Amino acid sequence: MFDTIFEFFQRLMGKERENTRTTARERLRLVLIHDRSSVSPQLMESLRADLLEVITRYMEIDSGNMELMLERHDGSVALAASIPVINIRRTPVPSAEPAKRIKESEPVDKSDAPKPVEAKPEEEIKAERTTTPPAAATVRSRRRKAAQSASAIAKKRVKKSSGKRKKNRP
Amino acid sequence: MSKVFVVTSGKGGVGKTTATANLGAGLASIGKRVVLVDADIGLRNLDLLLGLENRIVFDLVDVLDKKCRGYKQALIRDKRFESLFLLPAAQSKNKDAVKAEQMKELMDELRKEFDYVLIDCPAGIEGGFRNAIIGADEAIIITNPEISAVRDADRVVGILESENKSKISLIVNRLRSELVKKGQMLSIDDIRGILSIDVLGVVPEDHKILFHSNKGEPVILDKFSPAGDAYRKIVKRLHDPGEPHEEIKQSKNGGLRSFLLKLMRSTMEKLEKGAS
Ligand SMILES: Nc1ncnc2c1ncn2[C@@H]1O[C@H](COP(=O)(O)OP(=O)(O)OP(=O)(O)O)[C@@H](O)[C@H]1O
Ligand SMILES: [Mg+2]
Repeated sequence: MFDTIFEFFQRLMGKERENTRTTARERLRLVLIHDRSSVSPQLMESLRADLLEVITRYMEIDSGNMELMLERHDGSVALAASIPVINIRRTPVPSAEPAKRIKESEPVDKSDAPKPVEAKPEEEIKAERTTTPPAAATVRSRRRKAAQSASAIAKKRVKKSSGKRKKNRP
Repeated sequence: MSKVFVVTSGKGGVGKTTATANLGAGLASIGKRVVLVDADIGLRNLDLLLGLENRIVFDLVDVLDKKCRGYKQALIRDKRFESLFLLPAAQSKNKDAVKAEQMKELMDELRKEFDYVLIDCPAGIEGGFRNAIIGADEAIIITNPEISAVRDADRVVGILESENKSKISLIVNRLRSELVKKGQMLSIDDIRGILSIDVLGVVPEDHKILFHSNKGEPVILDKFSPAGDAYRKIVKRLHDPGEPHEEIKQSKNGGLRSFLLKLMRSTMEKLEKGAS
């Protein structure tokens, strides 16, 4: 009873303006990470291939036991890679492909740790998803972009930015 | 050069049929030869929105099954525009009556005769959807500023991509800018950012849509309707992709009402401040 009255007054005063827009945007963003990766296994496959290519330039790995997955946490999604390392090279093997690829993968060679690297802050992910590519190129670039950015890192964390999410999870 | 567009959405009820009818009427009003294909087999509706429901003799399935002499016999000319035609959906048959290959052939036949072919796609991503997209050069995705509609739109974009249909643009329908301002509805930028496809236009929520669909008239003919206005802009942009965008500033809902609303809002804010 009091709750209803209180609510009524809150509404009257315009205090019910909880920002559901950001909640909606965040929930969508997270759910689409999953939708896209599960709907398009090719995307994860091509990411795996790209990662393998880059990492083997720095270390010898057991590619048969490489695991790559998107892990759902409370309010966040992380790309987790478990890659058994057999040996680390003293100097990187130069890439077969020139220029662009190498540049993109630079963050990786800075780390000499054999374990998965925590990299790229969330802003970067956001930026990739919010830039609108030119009309014609839109579609294919969306996938390629995703694969490229992911190939540069071993582990990415998407932080949750809204406290409301917890409630909405099953 | 003629173009075949499919109007699609994934989620049902977001405004595909309304958009198809209005874009068709708009393009015809600037002298284009347009045919609207109702591909929503079993749930025929486009005829109603155009007020042509009493003139149907043959339908899309009759054409594909060659039950009539070519598609021309099934076309219905619009009451208002000489150059606008409807190819109605079958109502009684089930949707498996259509084969994708036949649809593609028919679209290629239609493109020879018309400047624009607009296909009204059924909801969902099954057979009916596949048949509707197969013959199209470009897709217009309709969505609402609502998470489920946007998510489904993303799915449809994914399927279109995998079918190598990469010319995709977006119409956001039923936007309520006052809610966006209050932080209670996804904005155009939010949606554009999430889907990363081009925005062709934004259609505001408008009660006149209902008013006109009751009468079987496209709202685009109503000079005083905000939705009609939005559709007129979209038509210009379809016809000439260089047409400037002014979307993001949403429909100003006219003088006195918005003034009163503003006054009310600011009074409340003052009250609120005083209270805290
Ligand atoms: N801008 C708008 N403002 C208000 N109402 C709208 C608007 N656009 C569409 N509607 C209403 O939404 C409802 C669904 O529209 P419509 O039939 O065009 O959707 P649809 O996507 O074709 O649906 P279906 O998936 O069932 O084919 C209709 O009642 C229509 O009047
Ligand atoms: Mg419809």
